[in-house]
Amino acid sequence: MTEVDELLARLRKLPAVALDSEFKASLQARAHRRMRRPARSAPFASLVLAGTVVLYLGWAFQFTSALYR
Amino acid sequence: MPETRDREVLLLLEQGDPRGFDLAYARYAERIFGFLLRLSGSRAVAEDLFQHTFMRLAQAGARLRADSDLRAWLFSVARNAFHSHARSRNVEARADIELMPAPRGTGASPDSGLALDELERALAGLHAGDRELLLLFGVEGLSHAELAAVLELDQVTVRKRISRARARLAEALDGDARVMSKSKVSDDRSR
Repeated sequence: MTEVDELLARLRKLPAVALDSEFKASLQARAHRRMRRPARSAPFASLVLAGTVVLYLGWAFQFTSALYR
Repeated sequence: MPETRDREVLLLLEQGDPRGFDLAYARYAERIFGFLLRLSGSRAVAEDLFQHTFMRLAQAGARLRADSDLRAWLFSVARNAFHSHARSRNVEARADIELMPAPRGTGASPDSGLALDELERALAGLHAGDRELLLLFGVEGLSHAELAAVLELDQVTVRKRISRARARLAEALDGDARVMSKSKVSDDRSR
C-alpha cells in the first residue's frame, strides 16, 4: 500500500457525526410544514409593484391629457 | 454516478411527500453534518448551515429530476452555504478543533483514537479548499465525476487538486508527528 492510499484509508475511518434528536425532530417538523405549504402563484411583493406601476401610469396619462385641454 | 436507491426518494420528493424528506435525512444527515462540522470548525455554524441545506431540500426537492444525484446535490448546497457564510463573515476557515467527535463503536483502540485525533487536527489546519476536497473525496467517498459536479470544475482539475491536497495533508501529518516526538523527548528529559 502506498502512503497516499494509506492516507485515504485513514480518512475513510473518520466517523460520521451524530445529531441531537431534538434538533432533528424540530428540523423535520419545519421541513414537513414547508413541503405541505402550496407554492404561491405570484409573490405578494410582485403584485404590489405591478399595481403601483399601473396606478402611476394612469395618473401620468391623466396629468398629460389635462395639459392639452 | 447517481445512486439508484435515491430514485425512490426523488420520486417521493417530486410528489411533495414528506417521507421523501425523511428518507433523504436518514441517509445523508450525519454525513452532511460531519462534512459541515469539519469544514467550518464550529458546531453552531455547522448546525445553521445544515438546517439551511435540508430546508433547501424541502423547498426545492420537488424540482429535482428523478435521475439527479441527490448526495452530490446535498453536498453542493452545503458547500455553497459554507462559502456564502465564510464570505459574509470574511473568514478564512481554518477550523478550530472545538468539535471533533469521538469515534463511535467499541472496536477502536486508544491508538486508533489518537491517530484519528491527529488526522482531525491535520485536516483542520489545512486551507478550506484543500479540506473540502479531502472531506468530499476521502471521507465521503464522492467520485471524481461527482466532485467535478459539486465543485463545478472539470475532472482533470479535480484530480490535480486532490493530489495537491493529499500531499499537503501528508506534510501536515508529518509535521505533527515531528512536533509530537520532540515534545515527548523534552518530557522524557525533564523527568
